[in-house]
Amino acid sequence: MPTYNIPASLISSYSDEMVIIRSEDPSELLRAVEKVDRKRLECVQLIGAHPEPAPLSHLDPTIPIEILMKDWEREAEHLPLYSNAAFRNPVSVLIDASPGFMRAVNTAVSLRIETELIVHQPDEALVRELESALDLYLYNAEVEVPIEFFHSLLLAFCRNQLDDSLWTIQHEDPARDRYVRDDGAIVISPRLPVEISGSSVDFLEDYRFDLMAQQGECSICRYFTQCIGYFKFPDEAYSCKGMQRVFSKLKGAANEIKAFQVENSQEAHGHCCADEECGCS
Amino acid sequence: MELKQLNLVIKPTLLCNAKCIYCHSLKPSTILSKERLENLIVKYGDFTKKHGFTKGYIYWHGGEPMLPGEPFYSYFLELKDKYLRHLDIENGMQSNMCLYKNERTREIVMRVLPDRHINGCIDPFHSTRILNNGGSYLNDALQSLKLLRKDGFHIGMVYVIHKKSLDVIEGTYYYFRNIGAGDVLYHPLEDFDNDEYRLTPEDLGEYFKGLWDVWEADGYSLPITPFEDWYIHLTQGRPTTMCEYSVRPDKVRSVTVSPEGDLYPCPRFQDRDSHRIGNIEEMTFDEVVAHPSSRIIAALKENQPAECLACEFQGFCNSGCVITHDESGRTQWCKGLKSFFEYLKSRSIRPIGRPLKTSPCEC
Repeated sequence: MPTYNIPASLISSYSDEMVIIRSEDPSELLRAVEKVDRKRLECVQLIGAHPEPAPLSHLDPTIPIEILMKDWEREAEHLPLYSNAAFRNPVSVLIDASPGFMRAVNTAVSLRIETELIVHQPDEALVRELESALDLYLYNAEVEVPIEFFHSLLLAFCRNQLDDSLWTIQHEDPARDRYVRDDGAIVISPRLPVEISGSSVDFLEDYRFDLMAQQGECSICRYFTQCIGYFKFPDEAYSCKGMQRVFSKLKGAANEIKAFQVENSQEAHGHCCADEECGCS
Repeated sequence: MELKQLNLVIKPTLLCNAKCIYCHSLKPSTILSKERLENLIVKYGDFTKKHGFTKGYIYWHGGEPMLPGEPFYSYFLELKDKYLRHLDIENGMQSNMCLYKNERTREIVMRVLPDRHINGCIDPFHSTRILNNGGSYLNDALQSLKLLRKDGFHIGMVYVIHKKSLDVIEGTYYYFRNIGAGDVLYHPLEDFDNDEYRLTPEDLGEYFKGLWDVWEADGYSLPITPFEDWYIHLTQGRPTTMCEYSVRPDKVRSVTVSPEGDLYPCPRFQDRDSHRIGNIEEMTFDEVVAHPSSRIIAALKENQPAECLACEFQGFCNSGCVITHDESGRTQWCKGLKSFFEYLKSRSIRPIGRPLKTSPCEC
């Protein structure tokens, strides 16, 4: 069942669907939530770190709050208002990975707020900044919250779950994620303004095989199963060399974790092999 | 009788919609007639029932096994329902997949292969596979592969290693991984006298070394035959299980049936018209399994040359595929395989970190 990210003003048109309700106004979000069955509400999305979040404190504490930072330089100072100390709800921030975004990431993780990076087609300088963010996530012991997409990809590599692609992690899988624009048009996401049609369930599979048929960079990429051409949109000619470094570092870290786990497992249980389905002990 | 299972490899035709440059199977041919198919299935049913077999295996091979189309396979399903109900039958098919397009074909193939397991073949970077109609083999195969995935098939890939493959070892591995292949069988090109493509034993050794490095760097994530078999043998000391590299117990045997009803111990013997057992029109399966040619593979594996028995890598290859034996009884790939196994000895082998494709752990 797809999830629709809808403006609060359109709530009545999506009464039977799974929804994420978004608004710039915390009070409007609160009013919209009251009209929705909790089971159909995935989370609320506040557009911009509003300086007056108090109305959101009346939300059911099980409802996750996402803060989509529009202008993180200006809004970063408001983030402490959304920390665990202020809210019982799970809170995360969505940060557009544009130059200098690390400052916002540092602020968020220091407040123990989960972070999700919105990534487009980063140039070399931005890739280096992403690598810094990855180092922060992987190696800074004081970071206690996930930074996405790193966290989910690391888990996917650790578990050999080849089906957990970046599209799913970034909530842009056309089979399940729908973004309803303010004018009511339904697209995959703001990053991918592709209008949803009946065949959108097959969008990723079609895209995968188009890329394979082209026999370009994706077809022999080591990370394609996790990426499925995520960074080839909108400019197909974009070179992924920089992003491949990010993936490589994540995969290397996953291999280290796996080796460590196996060593510990062998020491602790004398397990004869690494076959997880093997019943021996 | 020690035999517990008799597997059928049925080649309903040797005709094909493609003409791969090194194909051994493509020959002037017909389609296995309904009468002959019925005779085959009735005799298979009688034999398995008489001996109390509960499991069977039917593998469709060719030529291109999808060519006979819906009427042929609908009739097969009728026969199966009528004569083979006592058997729990595993199914598989070796196909170029390109004909898996229209609804009718999709529906019948899904019914014939309820286990949803098919093996396809692609050469992503060299034009060794060519369609008769002049179309792009790769594009057709990819389109069909997409449909097969949608229909829930596990897709195994067969890749024929040739001389030019040495330039694209990593690329080929990731190509198969990226199209969503469930596993890949790498098989050396044999008996193809062309300087551009001919593979030497040394080439095979180098190819396997390079492929192992790529596989290892990828955390062994794509199941590779025969590497998994060798991995298990190397790390756990268990016997290899793949036909080519193992000594198989005589409890399970296979018979390959040509469109003319001729019987052989394996498809590769049929390709070469070697060790023909007889014809299904003239024999019962009791006579077939009693025929010396029906156990020629086991017999040759049980009588490996002294040089193989003394080899430190004997347990890895067991003298290799019998069709590749030279006059001394060793596989023609011996030199390359030895050099690869030497290389494996020098590697630090990591845990595989996923369930293995081959037989389950027996520890």
